[in-house]
Amino acid sequence: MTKEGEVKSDDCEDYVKVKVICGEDVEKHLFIKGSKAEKVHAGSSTKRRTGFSTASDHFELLDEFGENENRAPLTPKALFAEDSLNKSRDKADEVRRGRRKSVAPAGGLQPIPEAKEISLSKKRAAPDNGCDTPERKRRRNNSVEEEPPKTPSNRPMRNVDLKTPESAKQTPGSKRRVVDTPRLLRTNVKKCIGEMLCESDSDAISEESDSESEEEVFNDVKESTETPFRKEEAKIKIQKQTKSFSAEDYFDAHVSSKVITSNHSLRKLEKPRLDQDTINDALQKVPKKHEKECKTIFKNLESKFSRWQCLLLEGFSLLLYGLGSKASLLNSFRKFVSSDEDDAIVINGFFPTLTLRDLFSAIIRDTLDYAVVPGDENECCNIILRHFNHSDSDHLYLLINNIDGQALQSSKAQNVIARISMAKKLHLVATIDHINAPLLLDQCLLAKLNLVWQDSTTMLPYYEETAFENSVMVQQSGKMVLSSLHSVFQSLTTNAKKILNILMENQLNAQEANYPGMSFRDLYQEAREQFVVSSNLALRAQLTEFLDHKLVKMKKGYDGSEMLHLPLPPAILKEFKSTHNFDSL
Amino acid sequence: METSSMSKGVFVYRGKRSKGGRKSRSPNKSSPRKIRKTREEEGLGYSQETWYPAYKCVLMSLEDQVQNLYTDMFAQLLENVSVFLGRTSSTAINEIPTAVVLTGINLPDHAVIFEAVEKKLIDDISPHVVLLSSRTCSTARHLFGQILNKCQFGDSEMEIESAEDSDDIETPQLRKRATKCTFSEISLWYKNQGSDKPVIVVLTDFEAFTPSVVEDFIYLASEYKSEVPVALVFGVATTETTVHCALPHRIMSRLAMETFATKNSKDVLSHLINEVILSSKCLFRIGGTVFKMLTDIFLFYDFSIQSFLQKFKFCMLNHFAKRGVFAVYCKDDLTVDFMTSKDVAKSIVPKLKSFRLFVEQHRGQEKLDLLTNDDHIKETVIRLENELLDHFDYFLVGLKCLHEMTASLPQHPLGRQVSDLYFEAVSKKIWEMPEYLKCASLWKHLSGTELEEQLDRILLILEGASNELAGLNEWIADITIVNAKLKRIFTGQRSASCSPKKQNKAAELSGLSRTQLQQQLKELSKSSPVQNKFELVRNEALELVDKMFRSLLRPPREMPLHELMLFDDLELAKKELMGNSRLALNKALFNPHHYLKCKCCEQKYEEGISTSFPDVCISYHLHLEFMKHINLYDWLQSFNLIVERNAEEEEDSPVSTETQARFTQSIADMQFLGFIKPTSRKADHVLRLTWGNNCA
Repeated sequence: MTKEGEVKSDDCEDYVKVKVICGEDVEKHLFIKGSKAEKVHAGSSTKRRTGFSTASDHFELLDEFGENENRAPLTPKALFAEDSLNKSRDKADEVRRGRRKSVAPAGGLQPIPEAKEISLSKKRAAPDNGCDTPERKRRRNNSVEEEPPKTPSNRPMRNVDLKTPESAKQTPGSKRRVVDTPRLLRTNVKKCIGEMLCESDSDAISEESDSESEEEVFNDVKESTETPFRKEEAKIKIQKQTKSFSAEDYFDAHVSSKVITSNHSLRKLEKPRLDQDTINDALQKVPKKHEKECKTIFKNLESKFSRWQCLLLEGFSLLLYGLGSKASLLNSFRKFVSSDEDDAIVINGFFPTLTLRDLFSAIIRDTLDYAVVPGDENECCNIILRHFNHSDSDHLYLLINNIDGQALQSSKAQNVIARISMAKKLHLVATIDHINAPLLLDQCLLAKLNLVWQDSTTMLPYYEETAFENSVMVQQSGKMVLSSLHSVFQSLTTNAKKILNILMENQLNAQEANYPGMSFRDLYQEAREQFVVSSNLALRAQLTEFLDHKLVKMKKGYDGSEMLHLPLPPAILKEFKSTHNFDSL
Repeated sequence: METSSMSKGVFVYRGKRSKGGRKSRSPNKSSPRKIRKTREEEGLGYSQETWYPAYKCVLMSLEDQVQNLYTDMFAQLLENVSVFLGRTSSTAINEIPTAVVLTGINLPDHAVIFEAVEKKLIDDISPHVVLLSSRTCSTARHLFGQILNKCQFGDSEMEIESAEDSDDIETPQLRKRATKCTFSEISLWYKNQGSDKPVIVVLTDFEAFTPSVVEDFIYLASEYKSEVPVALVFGVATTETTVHCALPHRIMSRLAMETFATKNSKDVLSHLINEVILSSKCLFRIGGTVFKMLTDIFLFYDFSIQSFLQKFKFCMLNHFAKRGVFAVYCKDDLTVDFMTSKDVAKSIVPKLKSFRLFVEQHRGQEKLDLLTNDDHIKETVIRLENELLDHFDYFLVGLKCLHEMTASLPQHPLGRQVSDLYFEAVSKKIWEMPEYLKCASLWKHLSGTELEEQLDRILLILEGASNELAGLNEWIADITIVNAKLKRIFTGQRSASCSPKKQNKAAELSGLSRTQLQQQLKELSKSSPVQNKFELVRNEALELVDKMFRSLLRPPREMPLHELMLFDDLELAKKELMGNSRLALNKALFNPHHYLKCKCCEQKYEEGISTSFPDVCISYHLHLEFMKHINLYDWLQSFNLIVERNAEEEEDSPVSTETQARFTQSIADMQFLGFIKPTSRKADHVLRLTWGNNCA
């Protein structure tokens, strides 16, 4: 009963023929495709078994094909094995595409004249198999001679070691196999070979050491000691794909102080940095992703509002965290509560120039209608606490966008917020976005704030929060400076405007790359000529105003004279100049 | 959006009512108050809910009990402080009487302690008590100002109110403040006052005060001692030595110090748990796991009773909000009583898992009735609820008895506190736990007197509770009998000097030859040691106790309808009380599908970055591959590759403005979230602030 199965591949040149002998006289030829001729010889395996289940046997066989290359030993557990097989197949495909040349070992290049055999015995009886031992031995020796130092034959040994200790004592060559389903075998062999191929190049050590058959036993020992580590390796590989962080990563990130990065810079781009307006325009054009899903998320969050209000009224504060801008969520919550006729204050913590005074004046002057806001913050806190602890007072909702924002990060600000949040009728909702924001809160603050954490991931981009031109990739267009310049300029007297003009002209006309500024003397000279100022002192008085508003900066020059310049790029100065008609002054 | 502006960061929205708000502060206060009251009654949404009164009632009773507990716990301390200050301030010594109160590191609780101290001192010694915190006293001038202000305008609230009342249209007046802040001002005020009561200054957080400020104050106070008698109270969180370290000897020598320690906050908590939370008086029953979490936060994080109570309150609120009217808390107030049987049958009660299980246990007609007969359902539910409430009381008594038996065992297999027992016993059969079995084996080594004492104490507990719980009488009777037996043995044993049996045996052995003796001894060792009377009674007693525990400690969590009584939503409590913002952020960035629930982003981790990810997620994934420094240009290129998959083939395909804008925005987001920051090390580089996954 001779069965012959062939696995043909598209690549006709690269065949590995594997003979599978079923029983003594039954041979099976498997043509297995490899990237280069690859001989798989399982004959050297040393196994005699008296009875095994199909499945486990099957995988043992596969192991044999895998030989040295198959790093992760395949366990008989069908599930795992199948998984890893699939994976290895994928890998093999990849490799076949990509690493074709590197895979092939030196000796394996020439096509093999005759098929190597894998002997598999269908019969379970051991003794009669002993007869083919010499033959197989010879064959193996042949193969060792003619083959590249590629095929180590220790794997089966190892397998036996792992599974049936007594069989390890068997002499090499007395091996038998049962293969029930040739088709399955075929496909699996194919997979295994693929796996071999992809890993063969990395497994140089075993290749070298396995070239001689005398070393077999020694190698076996060596390999079997290695097995657990290899197992672990494989495990780690899988873990790495699924788990993203581990403590080890910290050391990976910090051990090597020298980090090598490429020398590319943004200058290679057409426009190295975009300004905020261009970005906004461009983003308008891009279709938004996940708009529907974001809306669903938002709606789900909105459905929690009544619960939030309940918690707030019971004396808890809310802390909203999670990815996505929560400004619109807070605003929506604000509408929800103020439709309930209560006062609400929204504070943007990400606003760069926010101060505690703004907060106090919003509460004390705008909400409580006091005429004056006391200068002392304790006094302010006391007023707020006294008022909102009073059972007669109205509710006030204090909604803070980014309590971890620049302006509110100081412990003073945090303490003040925590303190006023203790008032019975003042309800605090705060959001955090920074990854380290929880570090701001110590146990005292937490106890005062009495927080309830709410995961309110909105997945919305932080347009508003990042609009203040503090990002690395955004061009510092100076729009903000320009607008402040405009507003200050509006309030200047004609003479002051003229002085500013002189400075500006001078700066714009300067050709030097390192413009040092205009010296005070030159400015005075110029101003006198234009009948702007009559005395040195008057000019100084004007300049003080500029300096106070940070329109002008003063530096000491090399010769000790005072050098004045406007801290703005020329483009902005030009733009500024074009918007105001200086000639008419 | 309404709250976005480039020029301001604070937005005030006035509610409808407060637009005419000035009127609400009008002199005839009755009307607005009435309006507000009706509004409260009308409800703010949730307080309209039917469960709210029940919650409020349970909360009030809890707060009352806690208050009582506090007063009890601090009574001794307050008394001591007050006696000390009263005694020393009256005597004419040169030193300033100073009470150092060691408050412990549970900072959030200190406010409560000092409130009590202040009240007690005002009642007992002097009306001039000034509570100061380091926050308000950065300089000596501020400190004097604070004292003056508090002494002069002690009841400032009233003043503001009256100022408001007198002039409606005018805006509220700020409180007048002392302008001259010196000690001579204080002494002047004291003279005008004309009383001889001392001024007591309480520094609530001594460690945080600037030492020089305190020095100046003490120095001046001792100089003015003849004019203004001053007494001090220091609140010290750590140890008394802090005071010695902070103040030099010349200042210390002006103080007559005495130290008072408050109770350890751990003790306060165990007291609170035993007396309030695990007593039948507390109407809210908390589940084991959640309770364990709360105590763990207490023990491992802040030691603060106040925040523990707040968290407990949170659990309570959530329980009532979730279960609504069906929340079972009190026998006299079963909502089911007032409902029609149809409503009960339709309501959530039959939908509860435990009730379904209960129904499953029955067969035939009974089961059918439980499913279809509304009246029967209602009856059963009422019966079960009553049973549950009854059993819980028995359960608590059982726990206390078990605690008596286990607390003194070596190594404390079941923990030292009643709460330790509660965590486990409420949801599991505690007698099946290995720890219990270990305890049981240890009991067998108890000496007679120990056992007797323990039985006595158990009897005390049982008798204490038997007034309300009639079912305990049976056990009391049984245990009394066993206890009496035990006592009889002891009195009997003491009278009989030595058992005659042993003597006989000794006599038997003496007359034997060596081989015979050997034989005899062998036989003796083989035969099991005969139990003496004591051992028999002990075993009997232990069996009885074990039987009692098995009946009393039936886990309430395994009873039908337990959901209505126990709050056991650990997940919610953990999520909302502890919060994990980092995890949420990373999860959202790493796997946006988790939140978006969209089909396009649904994929396994290995498959890498999908084009459909939100931009910031793509940037995040890419940044994970970098080391400490990230080249913006390279980052942008890889971003471009992902975003425009068709550009994969050509290298260095030009980056479109849209892509660059998207990238820029995502980078800005990343910077805002704190993952990267700009660096000047190298041109166009950013520094990565997190670590991990960079070798993938």
